[in-house]
Amino acid sequence: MIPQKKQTVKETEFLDEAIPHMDSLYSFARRLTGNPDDADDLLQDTYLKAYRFWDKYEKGTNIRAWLFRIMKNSFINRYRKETKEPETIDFDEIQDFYTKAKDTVDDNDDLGKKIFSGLLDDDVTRALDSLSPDFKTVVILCDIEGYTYEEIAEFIDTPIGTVRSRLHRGRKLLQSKLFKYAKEKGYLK
Amino acid sequence: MDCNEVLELISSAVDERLEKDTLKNFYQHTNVCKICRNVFELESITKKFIQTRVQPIRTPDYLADRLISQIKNSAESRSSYKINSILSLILQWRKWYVAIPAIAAIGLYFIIFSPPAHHYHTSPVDNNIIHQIYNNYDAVVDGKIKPTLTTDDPSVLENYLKENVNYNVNIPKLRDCVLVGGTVSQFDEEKLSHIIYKHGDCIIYFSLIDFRVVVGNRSITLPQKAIDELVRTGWYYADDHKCCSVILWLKDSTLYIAAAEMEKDKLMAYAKEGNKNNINDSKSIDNVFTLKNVTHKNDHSLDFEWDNNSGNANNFKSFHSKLTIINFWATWCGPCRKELPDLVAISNEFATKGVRVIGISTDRGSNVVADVSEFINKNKVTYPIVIDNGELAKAFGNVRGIPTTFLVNEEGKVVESFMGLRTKEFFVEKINRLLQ
Repeated sequence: MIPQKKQTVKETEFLDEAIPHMDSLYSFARRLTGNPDDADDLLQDTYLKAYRFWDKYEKGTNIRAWLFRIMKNSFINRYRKETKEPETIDFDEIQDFYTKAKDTVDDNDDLGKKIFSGLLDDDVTRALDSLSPDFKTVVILCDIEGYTYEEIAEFIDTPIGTVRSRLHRGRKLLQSKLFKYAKEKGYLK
Repeated sequence: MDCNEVLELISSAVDERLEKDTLKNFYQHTNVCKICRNVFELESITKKFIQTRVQPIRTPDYLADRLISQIKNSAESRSSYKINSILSLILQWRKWYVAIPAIAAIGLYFIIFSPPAHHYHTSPVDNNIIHQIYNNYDAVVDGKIKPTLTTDDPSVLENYLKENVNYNVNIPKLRDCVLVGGTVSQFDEEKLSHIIYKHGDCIIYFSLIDFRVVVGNRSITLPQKAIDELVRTGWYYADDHKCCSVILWLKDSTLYIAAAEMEKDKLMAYAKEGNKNNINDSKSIDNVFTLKNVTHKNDHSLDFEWDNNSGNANNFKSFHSKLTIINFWATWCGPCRKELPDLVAISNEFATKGVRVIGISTDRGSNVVADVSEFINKNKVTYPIVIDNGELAKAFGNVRGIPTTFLVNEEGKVVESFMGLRTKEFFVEKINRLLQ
């Protein structure tokens, strides 16, 4: 007898539950795509899909994980063709440098500052961008967004062991990239 | 542990996620194995570097606004699609010359063969708007009149109605009642607004029209007695049917008509309250401000200023006492709304102990101050609310989602931060500990 309330319930629920995670998702989208325009599209795509499939979301489960999964899948569908060839990276170089440098410095924090000190934010973004989506995702989620391994495993639908190994590998790749840029710019001798 | 095992655990060790025993074994190995130790240290350095150099990015306002309105529009367009067909049938009451006998016949059928869900107030179909309100009320109860916009948020409906009519619209806000929605209909040249509320199973129906139309002796009229009474007192009560009360009142030259199957006095109380508490009520609590300036200090403490004409504190430093709870929230955020009553209680209970609460609204939009003020008034939030333009969240650096709450100690430094909903007990415990 009472006019349809269904749409409003859906809308209210969605605005209440999904919208508060917009900033986390946008931040992730920005890092994942590496530019604002693609991030806009990806966020919009994710939210409109989530709204359309709201009835598929199981109430009480981790909504953020659900949204992240939609975003990840949208990203993969959209950018699959553009996946870059992995570059060959020399891991030994930075290890050698570090071993030598350590002999002259006592404090590890100082050393950290010394290695990457001259890098600009652009270099950091570029290094992050150079990672393949799998590695980039775990590094962003863990180191920038601060999620736990369990949460990340849920977001990307993989076992925790895989999260752990991708993190290790991702950070190593990042490290080498940063080292390479630092060297190119002449901050390191 | 050998090198392979250690290398596998490096990321966990960097993220401090190893169990005590495993960690012990891990360090036993790295203490002697220089290669593994270097890999571990370098990974820690990289993580720390990334953490400090790359910050989470907040959604730009234009994008958030666009997304929210896209979602709202997609909901609206679907509901209006369903209802437009029914709308064409209703409220244009000339067609009711045909429709009324049919409805009356159906009504008669139900009266004879099965008891109806409610009794009818069938009134003459003429230009008297009170008669029409009784007929409309029956149609609303029967589900024949349905809203084009279904929403439980009065401000959303108010905006919708304002866009479609050319007179003042202040949606009455009724306590203990749920807004169902509203619609606009046209009769000759004149536009009527219709608002439907529910109180339990009882429907309260409002209709709004420009009063000048009613006195202008046009196609929609009122009995002279009613017009005189409205002009003299601002109120009129129609008693055509004992079981269904109809109350009329004037506000800003808009005629408001309320109808419900409840006692006259009860409906009158609702009408008076709604009239008082409507959205543009100027006697509102004035504690919503906009952010003016954020300053970072060398000692990593923060200060920020807000616009304020009332002469009270207008910067954080003078507002702050022993402990301040800074709560990032938004009106559309469900968990945030749940937290508000607790924060209000805390701000009252701990005021004498030097505990302050300040809300930082992350709401956006062109009417953000009015929207937040309305919400604050409705929910009786007494502590100040500062509307952030993004600068403050950036300054706090760690607002990844809302609600996010920071506790600031006497020295003005953030000592705790929590993301997500917390209980009153949780806050009280933290406060007591920090005050010691």
